[in-house]
Amino acid sequence: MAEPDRRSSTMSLNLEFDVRRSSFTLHAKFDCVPGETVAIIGPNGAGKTTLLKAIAGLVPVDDGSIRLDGVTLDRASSDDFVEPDRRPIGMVFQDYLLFAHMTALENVAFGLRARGEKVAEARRRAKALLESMNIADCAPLRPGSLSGGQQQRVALARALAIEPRVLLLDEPLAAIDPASRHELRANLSAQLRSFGRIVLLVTHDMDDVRAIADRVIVLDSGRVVWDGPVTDDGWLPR
Amino acid sequence: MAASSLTDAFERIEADFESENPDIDVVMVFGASSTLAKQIVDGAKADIFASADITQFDELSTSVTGDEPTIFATNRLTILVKSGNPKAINGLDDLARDDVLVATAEEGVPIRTYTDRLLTAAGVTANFVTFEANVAGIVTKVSSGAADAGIVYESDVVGTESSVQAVAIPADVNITARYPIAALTNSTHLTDARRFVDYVTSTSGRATLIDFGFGEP
Amino acid sequence: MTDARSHRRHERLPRTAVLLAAFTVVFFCLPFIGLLWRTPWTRLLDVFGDSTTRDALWLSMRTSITAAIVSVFLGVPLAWTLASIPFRGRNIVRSLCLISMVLPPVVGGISLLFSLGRSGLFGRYLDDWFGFRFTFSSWGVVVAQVFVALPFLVLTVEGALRQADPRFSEAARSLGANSWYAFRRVTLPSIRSALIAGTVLAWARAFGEFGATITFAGNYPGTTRTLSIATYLSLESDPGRAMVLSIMMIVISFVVLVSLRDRWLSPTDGARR
Repeated sequence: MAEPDRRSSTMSLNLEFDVRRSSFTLHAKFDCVPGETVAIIGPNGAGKTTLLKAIAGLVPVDDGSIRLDGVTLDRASSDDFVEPDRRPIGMVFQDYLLFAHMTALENVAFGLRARGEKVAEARRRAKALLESMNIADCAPLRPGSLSGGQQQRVALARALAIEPRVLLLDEPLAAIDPASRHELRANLSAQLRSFGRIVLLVTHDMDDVRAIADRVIVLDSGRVVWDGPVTDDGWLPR
Repeated sequence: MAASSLTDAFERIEADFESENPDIDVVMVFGASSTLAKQIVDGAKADIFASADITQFDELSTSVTGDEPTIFATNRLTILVKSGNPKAINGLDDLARDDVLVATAEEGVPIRTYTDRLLTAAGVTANFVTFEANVAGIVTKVSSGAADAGIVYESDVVGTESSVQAVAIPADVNITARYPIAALTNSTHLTDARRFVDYVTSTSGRATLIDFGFGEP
Repeated sequence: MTDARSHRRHERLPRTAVLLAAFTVVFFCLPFIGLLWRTPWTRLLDVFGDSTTRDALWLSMRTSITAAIVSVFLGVPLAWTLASIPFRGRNIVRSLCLISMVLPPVVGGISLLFSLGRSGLFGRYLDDWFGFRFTFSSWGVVVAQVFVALPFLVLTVEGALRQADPRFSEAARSLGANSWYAFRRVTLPSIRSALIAGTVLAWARAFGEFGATITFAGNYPGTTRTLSIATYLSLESDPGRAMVLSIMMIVISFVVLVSLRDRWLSPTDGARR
């Protein structure tokens, strides 16, 4: 299969930027196209979370730019910066960060309501999403009453509800106990396959890479040191 | 303990007295005479009481004994207005005008008792907008421009900044406040206290009081 | 479960701490006990029934509640700004806003008088252009109360905002909430206990306010004679009445504070379930 021309495709995420941190500088230079699930792996402190935050707009770039579907989200040399709430990007955080004072349903509906959707419609869509993930009975419960696996799925539903063009996941299965991880990984894999958009998944777990990702990027000390496909035979780590 | 209207005069008298009697340290406590009287009845350790009104001494006499009070100064009332008298207040009748905001003190404070007596005798119903806790409050309201006029003691006008001026009240209707002073017998420094009282009533004491706007006893 | 076991439900404090706590409780109870002992209970009905008392109480309640509400509307944005934006001179600005906590209230009152009073630096324009005066009006009472009470709310809320986990509002932003929406629906609920405590504190301070009120707004029955002013001034002429009024103020404050349920004061970040 020929390498997709990610650079010139109009529907793509084009990253070419630097973010300066106190202990390292992140140099990100790669592109992604829809339908791709890219795993980002690397040692701690390599800049993986910073990468996701820059794409989400929670951290501005110090050099270079981020472009999505031809639109500049962030460019250091000019004043171009699209606020995080205006970007068509959804993120699932480590620790999920579910809002404790809201029910699972309200959490999932949050993004829709924040973007102007009416209460009833937002709740309807949130309910449908929860049903499709088999956690409809979690709807009226607060995050504190949910198991780790349920929280993970609610967090995913919350990010999917806003129908983002890019989905960012920061170690989505890290907090799950090993026993449940296999099943949840399979669920996640199925969800992402049906998603059909750009997915970036930060993980430490090689099983995640094999089961979920199509492509893997290795980040070390802020630099991309490997970028290659994940095949049935595996993939070549550095 | 002395009425607040005596503050400036008594501070000078204290300085003079202490320089003549270096072994005696006089401590001054100023306040509304009615408040001070209550405090003394409640057991405050006072050696001397100088009030703006003889009735405060009557309050005391039931529970605290003292020497026979001597009238050491008098004070007359005057109308206080903002410098330049922007509202053209020239007499007691002007205090009844709707456009004139008058400040006075709460019931029980001597200046209020005198003010009421004065205005009743003159047949004037003043346009009171506030009842301050003491004379200082009246002066503040007038000097800041919040109130247009207030009735205070003549001694209160001496030493105020240029923001206020006095409008005289005709002598025939004006009230004279008589200030009594006495040493209290349960004082631990009775001799010294009496010496201070004598100083206040002496010529030097009286001269100081006149400097600060008080009248002869 | 035996008694010994049920004691284990909470943390075991060193005995000294508990003894000091008990001593402090006694310290706070003694003045009330003294007051209760000396109060002329037979006067209760005639003081309560007095229309001047009712006027003063009604004035105090409506001004202090208004002051608390105004404090929330002005104080929360201020707290948010101070907690979030590290601008130059932030420390100085914060100190200026909190300084009325440290000053004697009368000083606050005098400052207000000379700035917002009828002939004050800014007050004169209010009078000239709109015919509006703060002095001798109930709004003057509210202004004086806000001036002294607002810092308590700002202090409480700013402290809580600084401690709040910023990642939650980041999550909210990533989902599509602008900063106001994120603040309103995620951050504020997460500091609910501090917000409630700060508001009640501001209310309590406003309710008890005396020095700034009488200096700035004056003392006139019905418009500016609050319950605290009435209580203080009663001491001059009618101590029995002053004591009854004091009891009234204590009971009201106590009822408000007691109604602050424990669970409203606990954190809502889901950490404790």
